[in-house]
Amino acid sequence: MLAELTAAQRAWRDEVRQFLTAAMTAGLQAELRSGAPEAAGPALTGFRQAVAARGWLGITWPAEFGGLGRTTVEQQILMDEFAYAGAPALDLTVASIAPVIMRFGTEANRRDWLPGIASGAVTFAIGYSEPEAGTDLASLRTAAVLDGDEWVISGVKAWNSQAHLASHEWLLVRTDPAAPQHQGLSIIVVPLAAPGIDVRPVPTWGGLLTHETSFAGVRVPRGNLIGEAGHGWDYAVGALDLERGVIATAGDLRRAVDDLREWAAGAGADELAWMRLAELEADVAVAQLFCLRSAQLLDAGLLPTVLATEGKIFCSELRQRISDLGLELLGPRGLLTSDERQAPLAGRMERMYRFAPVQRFAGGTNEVLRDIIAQRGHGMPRHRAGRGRS
Amino acid sequence: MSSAGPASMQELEELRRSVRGLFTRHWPVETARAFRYRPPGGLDTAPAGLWRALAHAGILGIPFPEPYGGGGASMAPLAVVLHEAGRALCPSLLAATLATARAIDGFGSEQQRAQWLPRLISGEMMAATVLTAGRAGHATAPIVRAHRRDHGWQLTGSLALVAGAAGADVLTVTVELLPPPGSGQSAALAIVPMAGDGVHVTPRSTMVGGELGDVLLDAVQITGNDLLGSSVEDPAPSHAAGSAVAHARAVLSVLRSLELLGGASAVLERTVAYASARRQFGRPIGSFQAVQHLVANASIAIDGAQLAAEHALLLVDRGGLAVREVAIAALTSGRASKQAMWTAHQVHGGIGFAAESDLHLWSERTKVLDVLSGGAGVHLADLAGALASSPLRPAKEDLSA
Repeated sequence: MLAELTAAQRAWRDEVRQFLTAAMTAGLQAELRSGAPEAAGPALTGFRQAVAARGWLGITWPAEFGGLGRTTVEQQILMDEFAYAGAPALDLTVASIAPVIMRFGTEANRRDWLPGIASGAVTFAIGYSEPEAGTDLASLRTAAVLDGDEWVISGVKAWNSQAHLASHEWLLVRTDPAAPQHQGLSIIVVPLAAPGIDVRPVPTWGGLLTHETSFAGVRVPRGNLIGEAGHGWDYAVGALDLERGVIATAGDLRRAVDDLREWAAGAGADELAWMRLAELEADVAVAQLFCLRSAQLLDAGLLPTVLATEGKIFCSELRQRISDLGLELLGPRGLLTSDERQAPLAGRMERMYRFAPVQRFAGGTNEVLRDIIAQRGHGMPRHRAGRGRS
Repeated sequence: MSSAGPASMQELEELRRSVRGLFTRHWPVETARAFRYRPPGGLDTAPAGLWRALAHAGILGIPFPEPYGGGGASMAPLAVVLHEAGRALCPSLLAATLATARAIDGFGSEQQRAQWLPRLISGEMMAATVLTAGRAGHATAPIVRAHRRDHGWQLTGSLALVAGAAGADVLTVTVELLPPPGSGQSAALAIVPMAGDGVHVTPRSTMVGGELGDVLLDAVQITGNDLLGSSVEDPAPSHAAGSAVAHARAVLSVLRSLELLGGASAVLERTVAYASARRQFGRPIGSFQAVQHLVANASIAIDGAQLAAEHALLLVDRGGLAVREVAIAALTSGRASKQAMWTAHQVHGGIGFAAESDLHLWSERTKVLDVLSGGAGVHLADLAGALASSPLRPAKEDLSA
């Protein structure tokens, strides 16, 4: 295994860079900076369409599903470059949901959803967490009951980040209240336009808008069940595994440290500042290697759960340290928000500091992930009772 | 140096099994303990058998040309070898010998390769190295002066606490040529026979027992042939000798990083085994989240540093200095190995503090290798220097260069 890219992968990286150079127009950057995520502006919509038109939403899918059939490393390059450029990240739909449909979905599921996902017409909000079911996800209570040929869904989902933009909800629900906790769950796709759905905005410190989405007797066709009933936990946790393999990107971390280096060179930073930047540089290099190697192992047919999990922890905690030191080095002016013309680095470091806590608890909180490293990676004894996994 | 492609993961795993088995047979922890506690200067327990076994298995020649008895492969398999060496508490002469052979292969004349490589590859000759001036001199500043005398050079200098001084057959040392040759480059690598006139070794009692010793070079006469890149007829190095020094330093640093991480892995493995067996409050202490998180944190540090060290190895194998990557590997491996060691002592409690547990054999080696490498401050300064002087986006470019 080489910690580097092949000639073909470099060419792909250059293609992505060229696209981003052209696509990250001043208008798009202004829209992204405006912090008004209530509606996608015309530039953002155009950007998403351009990405979809290139087939990049289905970059790793097999050709038989309308994908480009590219490797995980190439997807990693794409995500890294997007993050480096500050472009809108590729939709989680692509990273985690589509592969689940391909692997576990019925023939009808694939036909119903994959073409729309590939074209960008179908986008998902992830409906896993609930107000009372966070890290202990399997205790969730949103229920779906079969009534004739329809599922009737009632409950509340929390931290539903894309609910204002997505076309559908990828909903983890309890379909068998009598079954053991992990075995009574299923995945059902719900159009967000369906009657009975209420989306309540929840603003956050990071500026990102998230939502609490409630379902009051929402009815969807029976065929919206993904795969088999009772297997929802495997699909959701399987998706989390895949997500960890591809979601950890160090592209924004690399950019932040490069930003700080550029600032340090311009500002004539002293030796102490360079020494402290060197600490971050070492960690960013390691973060990039964690991500790249995980992708390489996935391409080699392995599921590098432990390494990818370590990478997720490492990247998310490094994000806090980079933005912390970054704001310290930039001084009081670094506290200016992006709407201030004088904001150094266009306010990116200030924004990063506010966003940084999220990745540390989202996508599997780091404390539980450390359990996974100890137990799956090192075979240490389990400390939680009644768990079906790990 | 080699046309062979990168070894496959499967080949590397086979090599790992084979090298681990070799160390288990020829350098079990009882032997390592006896070696560590041998009387000062006592050579009776010197690991001659281990070197023979490593040579016989082809380990010492893996990345070197076949005509000299080498395996003709890349340096990539050395990541496995040094990892296993670190696990097994192998004496530090292994990394120094491999770094010496690599320097001769890369920067020596045809005659020097033919003279030294077969003996290093066959285990007949083991090398100690002193490539830097220690704590204060993170550059390649020489400490030994080489004065031009007749047809060769006369070396004078005092080297403190050289790893493996008592067991080495030759010393690979950075020297300052006086007067400097026409090129203006005054640093060069000399290969000094330890049995020669004027070489005096004084074993010292240190944290790792008697493995370190002071070396005094008192008007030691060498020929041009003992200076990398020169010859008896033309004793001034014919190439940029400074690059030989810098590259050898990079190679040794990466090999040491890998060795440290091998030791760290062994320590973490012992810690996990102990925590899983030791019961308190009616359950294994390894089932406590607090203990698991100590282990997970050490695991993250080790795995991250391992990726950095393997990446650095790849780049120095191509002949680059890879200042940035070598410094990152040294910095992260030093930290990870100490974190693993401290975690091990905390989880083992009193049992790990008791000498009979052997845990300290790894702990003391970790700190000694860390200090001999210059320590974190030196690596950070190297890295900061590289950062301030290189263009932006170096990481991405280097990852794909």
